[in-house]
Amino acid sequence: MLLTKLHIPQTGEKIIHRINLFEKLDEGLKRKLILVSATAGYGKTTLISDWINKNKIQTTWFSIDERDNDPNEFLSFIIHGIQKAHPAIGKNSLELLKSPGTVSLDYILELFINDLLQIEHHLLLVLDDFHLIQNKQIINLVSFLIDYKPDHFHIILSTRSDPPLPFARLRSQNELIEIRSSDLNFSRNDIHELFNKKLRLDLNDKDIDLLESKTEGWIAGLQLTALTFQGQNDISAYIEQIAGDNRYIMDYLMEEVLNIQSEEMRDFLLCTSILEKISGSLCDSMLGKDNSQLLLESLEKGNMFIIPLDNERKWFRYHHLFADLLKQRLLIRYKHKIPELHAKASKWFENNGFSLFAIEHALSACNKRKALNLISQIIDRLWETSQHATILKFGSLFSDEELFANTNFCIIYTWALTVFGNLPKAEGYLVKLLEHTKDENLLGKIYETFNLLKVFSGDVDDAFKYSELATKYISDEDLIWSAWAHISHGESHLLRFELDECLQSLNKAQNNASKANNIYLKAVSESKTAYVLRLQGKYKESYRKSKDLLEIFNADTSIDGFKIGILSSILYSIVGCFLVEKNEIKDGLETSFKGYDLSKKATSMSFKGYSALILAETLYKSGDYDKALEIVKELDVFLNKNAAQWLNVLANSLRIKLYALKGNRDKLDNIIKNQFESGNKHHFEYYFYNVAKSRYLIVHKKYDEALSCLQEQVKGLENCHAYEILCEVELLKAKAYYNKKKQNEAIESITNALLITQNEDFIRTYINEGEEIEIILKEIKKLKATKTSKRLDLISNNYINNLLSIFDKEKKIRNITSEEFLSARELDTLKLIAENLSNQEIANQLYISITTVKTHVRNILLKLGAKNRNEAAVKAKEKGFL
Amino acid sequence: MSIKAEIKIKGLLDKKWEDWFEGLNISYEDGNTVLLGDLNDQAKLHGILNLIRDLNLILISVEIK
Repeated sequence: MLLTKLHIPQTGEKIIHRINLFEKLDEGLKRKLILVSATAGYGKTTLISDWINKNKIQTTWFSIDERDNDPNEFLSFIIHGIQKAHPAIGKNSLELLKSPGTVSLDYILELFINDLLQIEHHLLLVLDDFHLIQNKQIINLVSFLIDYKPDHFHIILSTRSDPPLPFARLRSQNELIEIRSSDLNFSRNDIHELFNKKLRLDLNDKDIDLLESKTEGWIAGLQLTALTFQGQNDISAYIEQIAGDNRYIMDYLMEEVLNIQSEEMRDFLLCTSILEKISGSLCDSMLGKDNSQLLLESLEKGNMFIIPLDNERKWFRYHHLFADLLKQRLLIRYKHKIPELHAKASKWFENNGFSLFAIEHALSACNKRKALNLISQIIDRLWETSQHATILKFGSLFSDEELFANTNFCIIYTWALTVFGNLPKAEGYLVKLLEHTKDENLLGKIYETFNLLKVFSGDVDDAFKYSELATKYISDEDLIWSAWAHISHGESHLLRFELDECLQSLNKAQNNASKANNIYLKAVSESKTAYVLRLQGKYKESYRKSKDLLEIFNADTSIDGFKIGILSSILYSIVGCFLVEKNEIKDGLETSFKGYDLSKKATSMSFKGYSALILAETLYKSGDYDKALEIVKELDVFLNKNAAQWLNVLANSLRIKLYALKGNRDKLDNIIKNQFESGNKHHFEYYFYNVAKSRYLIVHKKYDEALSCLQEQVKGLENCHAYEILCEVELLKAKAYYNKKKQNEAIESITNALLITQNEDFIRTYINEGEEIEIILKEIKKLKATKTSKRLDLISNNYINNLLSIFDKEKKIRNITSEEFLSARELDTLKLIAENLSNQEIANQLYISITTVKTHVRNILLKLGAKNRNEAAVKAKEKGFL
Repeated sequence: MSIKAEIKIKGLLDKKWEDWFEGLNISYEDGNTVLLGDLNDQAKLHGILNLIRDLNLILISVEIK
């Protein structure tokens, strides 16, 4: 079927070459778009294919039908078409289109446009019957393609009505060539050419005038007229009486055409008019005949508005207008036979593997039971490839009773409803489904869909309950559903901060995803695992896992590089974050930014959100609090209420941490006022918000309150092995104790932290907390040297020394230049100021204008807080800039 | 919320087309055709207009009553 949609329609022998329109089309190759817009029967398709024959331009032809209103499918067809001549073009885009939901369409389109640049000669894309496109995304996609296509790539839109594209702008930029019905109409000359030269009918001038006025130059009317001439003795008299009574001319002509057919042919035409695509074998089985192929070929020879869809003459279709006229007559003559015809067509399509056509004909035959049956056979595949729009369309065709009688289909329909945000309707179905379902695996799928719905509505407890039931009921054999269920269950555990259980669930998900060879689910479960390991303070294991997986992905040549880029975005982010924690700041930031950039190409909010969050954390770890805040702000934009809740929690608590570390009390007070108080003590947000709140209390010097809040967290965090936050809690306790002048307790807290982290390369976590921590670390070092105690002995000297030396370096770095403080040019200027050079002298020496020097000087004074040049030089020396 | 539509097209269209146009009533006025009847909603109306376009009939006026 694919090939028939991409077939360039061939022109018959007896056609009129429209030389003047060819010139217009030639001119169109210099513009961005050629629009051929006219209603049915104006010879749009013939004109374009005839011109292509003459012009010999390489062409991808796409005959659009109503089923093409899915943007993914639409773009796939175009790429498949171009690949017929250029197999390498759009390979990556196509690969990405096969895993919908993970990558944004805009990005895929950009990738495709980039590929088009490689083609060196002219290439034409014809989108025929574009009026059948209703989908707004496709309109946008085509609009984008028109604007950004390379010059040697040309587009013709052929349509019955103007689509909502920015034609006014294209016109004003002289980037549009239009061919409309007034251009396409046959002139007297064309009519003469057709009837007298091509068809050799020898009409006189009066006949021609009459034909022109009766058909108004409309080509379909003229051609149908020619067909009715057969068997007419006096053509002039006949022409005179054609549609003489002002009736619809096509009605008149069609009647004439059918009258001169044999009865067999007449019935054949009427009955096959219900088919969008016609083949001999299909007609034979539908009509109980054995000569359909011959009939089809004779129709083609007789110019009977039938168009071959391939070179082998296997598939045909009628001209749409001709088919409409036939169908209307079928409706009048054989209304009772129509359902049976559809039923037989459906049967043939089913037997020959064309599911979608089989379903449509079954529906037309009013055999909903059959349609449901057919849909049930393909529904799992539709679900696995995220064809939610198609699923929704099918679901909407059936009554509730019919849906409930077909549980699996109904569940998947509910899933699609949920994805499209129709939660009340979805929930209504799910409740009813639960009442009626006995089969365990199906029950499991209902629970899993319920979980999805509860995640969307933000109900953590219910989401947990349903994910647990889903894992219980879904059979392990059902690999993909089971992998989904375990991922959902893992996520639910995470929200309840049950980290060990979360890891177990994710592990099961990974196993099933591997068995099903589903790379997407594998990447999701693995990257979540890496994150949970991090929460447990297992930095090394998490780092290693992420790195290993990245290597596996990069080495696997069977998977497309771009797809992997997106799936591995989170892994890069995690690896980058660890590198920075280990104080390998430059490499870490680079890697984390790489992950962040890759994630931008994803449509999935959790990919984008997660990578952005980790980048913000990485920036925080590197000490760049301002940039970290910028990224957190960016997160706000795309984390709406529907996005994963835990990302919101993490983003908010990071924001609080950053304002606290920057000492920005106003902002901090504001957030705290608007946030909290969360009641449930099991949940993820409880811990994160309480730690954040303690920071706030410390900033406000409410040390006792802070300490009691922190102490409350310790037990729970220990129980679930959440050592990363536990370490933070201990460091904050140390800060509070230190400020209360309780040195011993402060030392005790830091010792706890060191024992947790010394084998896991935690470094920046300490450094960022500032000099209080450094002072206490020095004390611990002293104590270790003078006293022995079991706990102190357990702490590695190397670890403490390493931390202290980094603290030391950090101070120097802070004092020394720091590029963000003075630009390179400002620094050059400052050096010359210190040498007592005048502005003019500095300008000469640096080859810059005196105005620029003045700007630099003004900035330097401002940044150093100096009153004049002398003071600037002194301050710069103090800070070690010079 | 059904709407009552009156659609005028040029020339005479046979009454047999009533079924094709969702059961709209066909009558004639000054040598032109009037399609008259109730339609479910605007989308249905646009569907009818598309049918008219697809047959290359010439639309004179559309009126919602």
